[in-house]
Amino acid sequence: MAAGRRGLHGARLIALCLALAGGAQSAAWATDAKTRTLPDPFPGAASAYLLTIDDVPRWGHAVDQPRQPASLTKLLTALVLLEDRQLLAEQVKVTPAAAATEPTRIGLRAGDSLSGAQALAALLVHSANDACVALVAHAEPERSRFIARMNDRAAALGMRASRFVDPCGYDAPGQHATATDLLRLARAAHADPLIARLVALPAVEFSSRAGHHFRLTNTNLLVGRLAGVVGMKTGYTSGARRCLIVLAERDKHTVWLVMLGSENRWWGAHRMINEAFDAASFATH
Amino acid sequence: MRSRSGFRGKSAGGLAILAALSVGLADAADAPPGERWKTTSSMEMMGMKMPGQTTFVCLEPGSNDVPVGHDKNCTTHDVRRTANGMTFRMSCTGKEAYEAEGEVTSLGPNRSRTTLLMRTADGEMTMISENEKMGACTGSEANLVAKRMIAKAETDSRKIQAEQERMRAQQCADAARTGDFYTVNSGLCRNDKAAVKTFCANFQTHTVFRKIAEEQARNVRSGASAGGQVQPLTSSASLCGVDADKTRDRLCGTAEAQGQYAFIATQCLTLAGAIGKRECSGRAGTYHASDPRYLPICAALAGKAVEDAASPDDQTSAPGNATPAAEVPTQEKKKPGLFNKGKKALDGLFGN
Repeated sequence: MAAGRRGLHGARLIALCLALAGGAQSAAWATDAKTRTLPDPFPGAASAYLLTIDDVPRWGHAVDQPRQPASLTKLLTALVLLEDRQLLAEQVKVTPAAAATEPTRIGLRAGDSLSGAQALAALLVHSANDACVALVAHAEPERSRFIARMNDRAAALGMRASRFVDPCGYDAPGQHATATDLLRLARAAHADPLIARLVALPAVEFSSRAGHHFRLTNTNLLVGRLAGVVGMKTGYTSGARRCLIVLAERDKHTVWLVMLGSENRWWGAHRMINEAFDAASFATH
Repeated sequence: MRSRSGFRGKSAGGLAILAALSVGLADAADAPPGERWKTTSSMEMMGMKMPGQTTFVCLEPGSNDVPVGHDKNCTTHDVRRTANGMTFRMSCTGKEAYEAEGEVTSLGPNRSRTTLLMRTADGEMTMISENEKMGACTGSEANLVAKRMIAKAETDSRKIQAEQERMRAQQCADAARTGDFYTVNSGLCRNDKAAVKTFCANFQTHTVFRKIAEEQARNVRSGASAGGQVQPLTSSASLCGVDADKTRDRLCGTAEAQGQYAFIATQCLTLAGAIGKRECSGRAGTYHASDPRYLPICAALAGKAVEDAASPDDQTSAPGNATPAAEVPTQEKKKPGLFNKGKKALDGLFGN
């Protein structure tokens, strides 16, 4: 019975993924020079942040200053992984290196395997580093090649001030991204229907091939708790501090928020997003 | 060269009253009363001649009109009957304005000749029209078409103006309803009494007051209101003839009973502090309240703690003089109400 349920969960997720695995469309987002001089009505909210209302940059701080991106990097990793959507149905083997990664991890065991779709869900919903390492190794045995693909993709997205060194977002010398660039990345990632669906899930369940059951909650605590939040991605390292990208939609308004280096991201994001929707009803002045 | 081109321009302009309006006359309405005249006109200027062009005009009963074509920019006046016809003057405005003196000479019961001497900026032109009565008007005559065009343009203009006014009123009404101070206070709506009345009624509700107060607070925090240019709360209170402090205090008095926790969060700091100490987690990095309805209060208090930490001035200020993050208008500083009294209640919550 339990095995049957586990199989159902896995099959359901795979079916979901395959159904949504249409061609990804990258949303282009033109750089707006105004972001350089945005008002900052939330001083101290983050080391760097950028908030847009209906695609117009409204508030920000240090939007073009480089920061460690932590696990926000995984959005780029996901985009690169999804360049070959066959991956979703393939079995991804958990390597010893993947099983030994630092937190956040879901406890994958070396030798076990899970579908690419399941691993991607773990990567995006729970920011699982063991799933990340396993996926990257499966997609590109030579890690440096995968990193090169990431930077190529970042360049293609117009992320001119960012460079990625670690596919999972661990702090690394030479790795940096700006809030402006990360918003570009987030918008491109969210244009992929599979990524958009996954990051909006409050939780996801599946079983590995060896029968280990996983129930993963979304690391983005705003999902399901703050009205209008439709997900995106969290990040944390000692170098980056707490990071967050959130997409929220209410009525006819859309708010994107990128926070880097925040000590109070949940409350800060909660307040900024609520105020952004309030401000959306004011005419531009 | 100039005179030749001037000739072409003026002759074309002058003949516009005879010819241009004869295009597309098939949309004639019911036949009006009056005599239909055919006029064939030729133009002379500086020794050159324009070939004759034919158009039709309608002489309506009782009209002092003359059997020449009409442009909507031209009026005839000083019409005088003579023993053998009539004389008149014509004034045309617009791009090719001119004054003209005309004479109509009867050549029999159904024929006449019109001579029109036009004085333009480029010189004089003479237009001679041979007129022939054709019977009853059909409605397709150039002068009738011109009248209809003018009437339609006036009607269209009134419709456009009415539609523009309707859209303006709607925009102002929407802004008043949603508390969009900037639009209500703009030249578009400031004199719209209904919109201002609606806005002022809404301004004294929890939702709109909070929204405007927070907008002003954001402006202050981001430096946008330096010099006092952008103070929507202060300006709204002034527009509505109310005291912002007293309005806030009154709204605070009913906020908890009405479940207005978002309002309490930023406008009733004493109450927010008390609720926050009781219901919110005291640790940064968490996202929890004992009840989701308290989340706005917890978020506001956490945000305030962060802002205080980010502001060296606040840290070094004497406690009694510290400026709450959401405080803004000068008048609030002078007359501390419940809002400012709440500052102390927040101290220690969400420590850095």
